[in-house]
Amino acid sequence: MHPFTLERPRELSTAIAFRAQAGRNDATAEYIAGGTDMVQLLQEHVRRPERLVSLAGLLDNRIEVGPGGLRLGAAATMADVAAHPAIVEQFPVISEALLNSASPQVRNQATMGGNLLQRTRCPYFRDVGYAACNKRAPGSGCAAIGGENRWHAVLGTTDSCIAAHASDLAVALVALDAAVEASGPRGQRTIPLAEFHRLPGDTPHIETVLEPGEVIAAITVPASPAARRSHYLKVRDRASFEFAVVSAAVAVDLDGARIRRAHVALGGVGTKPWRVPRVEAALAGTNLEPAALRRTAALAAEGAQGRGANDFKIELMQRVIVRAVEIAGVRT
Amino acid sequence: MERAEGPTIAGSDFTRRDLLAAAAVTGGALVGADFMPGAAPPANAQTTAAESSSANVTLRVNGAEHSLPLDPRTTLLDALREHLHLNGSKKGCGLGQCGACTVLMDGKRVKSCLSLAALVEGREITTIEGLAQGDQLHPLQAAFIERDAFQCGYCTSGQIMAGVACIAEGHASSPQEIREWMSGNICRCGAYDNIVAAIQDAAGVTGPARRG
Amino acid sequence: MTTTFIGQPVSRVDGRQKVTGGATYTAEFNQPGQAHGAVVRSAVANGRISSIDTAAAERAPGVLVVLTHVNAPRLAYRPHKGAVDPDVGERLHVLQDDRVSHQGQPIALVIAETLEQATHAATLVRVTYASEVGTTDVTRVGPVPLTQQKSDQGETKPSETQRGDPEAALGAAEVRIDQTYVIPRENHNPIEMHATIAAWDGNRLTLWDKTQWVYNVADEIAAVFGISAENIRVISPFVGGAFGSGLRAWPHVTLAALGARVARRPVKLMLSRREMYYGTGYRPHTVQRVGVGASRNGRLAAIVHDAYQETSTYEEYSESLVNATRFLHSCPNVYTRHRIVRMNVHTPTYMRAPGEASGVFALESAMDELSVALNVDPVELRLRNEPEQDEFKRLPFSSRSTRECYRIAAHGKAVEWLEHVTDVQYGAGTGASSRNSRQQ
Repeated sequence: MHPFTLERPRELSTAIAFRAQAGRNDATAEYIAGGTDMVQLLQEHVRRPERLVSLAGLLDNRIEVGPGGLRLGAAATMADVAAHPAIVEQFPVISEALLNSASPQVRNQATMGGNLLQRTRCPYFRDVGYAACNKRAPGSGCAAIGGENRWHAVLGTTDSCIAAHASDLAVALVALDAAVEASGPRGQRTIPLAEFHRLPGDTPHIETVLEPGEVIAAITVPASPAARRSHYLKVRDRASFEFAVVSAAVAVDLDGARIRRAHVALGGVGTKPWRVPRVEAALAGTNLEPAALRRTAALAAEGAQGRGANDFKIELMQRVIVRAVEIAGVRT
Repeated sequence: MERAEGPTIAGSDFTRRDLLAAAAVTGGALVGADFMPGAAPPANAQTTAAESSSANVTLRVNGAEHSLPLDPRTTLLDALREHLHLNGSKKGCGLGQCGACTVLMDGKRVKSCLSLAALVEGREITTIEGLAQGDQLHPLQAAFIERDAFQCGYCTSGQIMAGVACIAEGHASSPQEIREWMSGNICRCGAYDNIVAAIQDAAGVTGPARRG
Repeated sequence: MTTTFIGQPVSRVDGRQKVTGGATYTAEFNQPGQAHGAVVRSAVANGRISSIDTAAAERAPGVLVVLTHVNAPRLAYRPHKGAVDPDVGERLHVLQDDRVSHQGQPIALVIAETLEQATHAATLVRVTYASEVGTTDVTRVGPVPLTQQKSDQGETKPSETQRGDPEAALGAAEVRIDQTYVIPRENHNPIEMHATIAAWDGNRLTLWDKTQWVYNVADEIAAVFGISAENIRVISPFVGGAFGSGLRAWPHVTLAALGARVARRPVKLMLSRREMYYGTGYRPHTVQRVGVGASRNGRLAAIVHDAYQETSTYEEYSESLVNATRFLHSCPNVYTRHRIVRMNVHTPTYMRAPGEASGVFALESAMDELSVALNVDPVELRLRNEPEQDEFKRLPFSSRSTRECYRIAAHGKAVEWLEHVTDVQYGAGTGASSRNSRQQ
């Protein structure tokens, strides 16, 4: 790791002030919470901050479930959220997304906030031996385009970057209309999660709308009739402890056998967690009949662009949507 | 670029004088052990990155407190191995992917290679060295021997620490559950079947255990 | 006195040590005054180092020594080949010239007080290369013949053999399979990374080294440094897996000893997991054409096994890919060929059943496919082609128990075992195998 000064502030406002000084491109100061992604980035020299600002003890770690919905403190761990009985019962897609992520050890350390902010697993991003990575070194090019891109996105890509977003939790949350509560130098604000992550455009190094210094303080998820009947389906190369090739978070509100309202989001295929409103609109009114599901799932592929080794994801994600809806649909 | 000639290393011919002579010949700044770099800072020094200055970190490991001056970059794993010489926790990847570094922090299993030591002050850390009570092995340690749940033994510490937690969490009720909940620990020698059996034994579960 | 252990289930003698964290592996033999090493590795696969600027690395906190080909002492590199070192070619001479032969080749060594300081300083070394086109894609390079090699008994090991007229017989066979089997490179990746701690006492060297062969390390390092092997002591009581990667003394061992010599401190050097792909050997990528032809009654008429594997530009590694094909089954027309592809990679080495693991896989896969094409039970197919003697050497087998193996496997033991492993359904195939072992 490059040398840094470790700050262990006692007040959140102090931490925010440290980070706010660093500027948008966060080159000189980084936050660290659970550290399960940040320590990897530091060890591999992908991130080389001069100052590392610990958020330990500064953020809310409570998990609150009430009639209005769910509030997850940013410091709540993946393990605690996944095991929370009310979440397992009322928001199973969140619990499933978490249990399908990482490993038990990592889930004990990793936090809600950190999970949303984790960096892509693109091997070119993670290996500083590759010069061409616009996300790591703006303007240097993209080695994944024309390279090994099996794991990369087919939605939301540009010629600057095709890296897939890696979080499972974010997919489940965006499907359920989650919002991020952020605290920063200019106070608090609420950001819909669907707007929180940015498309790469031609500035893939800027991944979220957070202003310099802003931290995620909490994540809220509104109560909805569909949340109980939800499922996270993850397709990957290993049975466990592996990122998604393609995943889907689905929640359905049923009227008998008819879908009144559907929530569908995709992982492993988008440069950000990918809600598919066109599929959701087409699902409304259908009755879980396989051919109908297949037709509506095809809408997810609109605009999808493979880059060679990941072309198969375009077909696979449609099948994953269908299967996930079927499974969610028979949930009681 | 011309290749510089220097002294060969051959038995007693090689001395520090030869080393300095080589440095003079090549013009390269060859730094020996007798003086520290930076003692005479070069006049044209470019800005080098800030030095990571050490700070005293107090770690509670296996019930004992240790105060160590640590570079803030030191991971908990390296603090245990390089500074406390508790080598039971192993480095298999340094990136949180193999699980050989697994320790308990406040009773929960974590990957010590993904923790910065300076950020875990005040936490109760338990390593493999802290599991046995004197001569009395922890039941899972005994089960690992009984079930031959290792070959080279390098993943074993991490497997046992993760296994202890897996059982305590209530995630050891079947081989399938154990495999899923032990997926953070890999074994290159392939002792998985016996590891699962050992965890089942220690969990007190009888069932379709593997033969042999 | 009778032995009461043979045939008894006995716990491992080192069991207690291993389950209590009490077994000491290489990087744990910390020495007083020890410093840490970190290796800088080439970013290009082929070419020369044009310039290497170590000024920033030397100035970095805690750094004691930075060695490159420019200032490293000349090493003797007396000829030495351990038993698994390739006969043809010459091992890499570390930090002795500006040549780059593979990506990841060590081109600088940093010795610093702490691990964090060494690994950080290594990133500060600035290198420019005059790089040439590097070949690393086995599909883009033509295979070439092996240089003639001799066995331990002085016999020439043939790289191409033939009995009968295999291609014609294959073409004329009533049923035929003709496939190409590709097995990508496989890295040993033992869970313990390779590591060495080197400490000089005058001209005596102690190495704590992760190795499967302590004597070979002593012989190799003695040859590299031009000193007597009697002055080198190599210690390795516990090895965290090796699977063949510990049968050679790789460049990092030399680097640790060299760094310790120059810094006049014991030096610990542990490779990172990433570095394990760059300098401890691997099972090579193989491409194998296997053609098997038979008459409808299942009797083999022809076998063609044409294989090649990757090797480096500086050593000619080869493993016994096609040897078993010559005698495993009875067949009058058999062709085998073994060639290499030279690429800008580091040299492969033995990995768990080198040669046969890849070669017999290809042959037996073709046999399985043939059994499907013939609609004959795969075990029955092998039994129908059991040889009465080694048809290549035209010598009787001193013993051969394949029939018995097939019988035991076919009568349920293998299937029973498969069922107990897990409740997931697996496909199953049938294969025979054979591996040479020395009898002395």
